[in-house]
Amino acid sequence: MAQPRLLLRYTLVMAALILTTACSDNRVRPSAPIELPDEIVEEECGACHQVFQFQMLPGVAWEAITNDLENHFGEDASLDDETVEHIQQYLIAHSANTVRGGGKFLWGTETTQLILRISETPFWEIKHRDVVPDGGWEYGTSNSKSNCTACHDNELKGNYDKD
Amino acid sequence: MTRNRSMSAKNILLQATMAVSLGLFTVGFAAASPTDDILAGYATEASALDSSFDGFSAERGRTLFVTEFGTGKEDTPACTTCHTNDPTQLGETRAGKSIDPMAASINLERYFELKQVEKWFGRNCKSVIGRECTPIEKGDFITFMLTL
Repeated sequence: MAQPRLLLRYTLVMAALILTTACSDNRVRPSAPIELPDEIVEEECGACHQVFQFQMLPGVAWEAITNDLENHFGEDASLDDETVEHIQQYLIAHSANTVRGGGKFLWGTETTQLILRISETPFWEIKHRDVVPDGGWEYGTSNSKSNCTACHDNELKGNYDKD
Repeated sequence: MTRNRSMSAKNILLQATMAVSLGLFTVGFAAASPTDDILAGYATEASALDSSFDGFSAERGRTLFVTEFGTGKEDTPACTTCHTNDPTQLGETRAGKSIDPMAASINLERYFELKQVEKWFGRNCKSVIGRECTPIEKGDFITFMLTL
């Protein structure tokens, strides 16, 4: 008899925890499906680097990045205002705040200063900690953390779980 | 029958005239390529800025391409940082993305659209040199790429 009661208590505690977490979470639950970028976004972002998954950064980060394309991670990537506006709206609409699978990339981003690099988000760091062997960042043609496809081969699908 | 033959002779003459006209028309357009138009635009700007301007120079363009400026962004001291020393070869961005060759013989379309050309000069001159390129520099650069 003790065991079912324990199980019930455990279930109730877990349910309470889940409910508390859910209620205290005032973010919009990311639910939109992953989409491939539109033509302009793909062309402009993809001209210099792979088109990153937009659900890997919060909307505020995409907003800040697109507001300062003149200083884009060490390069000038400026564009005309109309194109910037288009890209900015697209990125914000497909950010970690809105797209399914993006929630984990919001972890820890709200309490720290604005993180602009996907590779500096707590979730990304946890996933790569102790996984990449010594010299791993020199793998492939670029020794850059922005070259995801050097190790992940399914970046267009946006699913890195099975790599 | 005679009338028909005469009609078809007229038709042939008409068609031949149209074909020749169309040919001349096409040749006329081909002579002024979009790249020539872009260069002409830069030449006009160059003359307006400097009355002694006497045409673009592939050699000056080559120097521009290989010079280590070090006056722009730290990671991109020269054009060759990403485009390599050989414009007929693929380059690579700092993020590992392949860049199509710069040489016009391989990739002439690169110099067809003024908006695109201006976009890349605008960004890369500031990244590499730390300022906008002058119309002379832009014209020299394209002239150099047209020789390769």
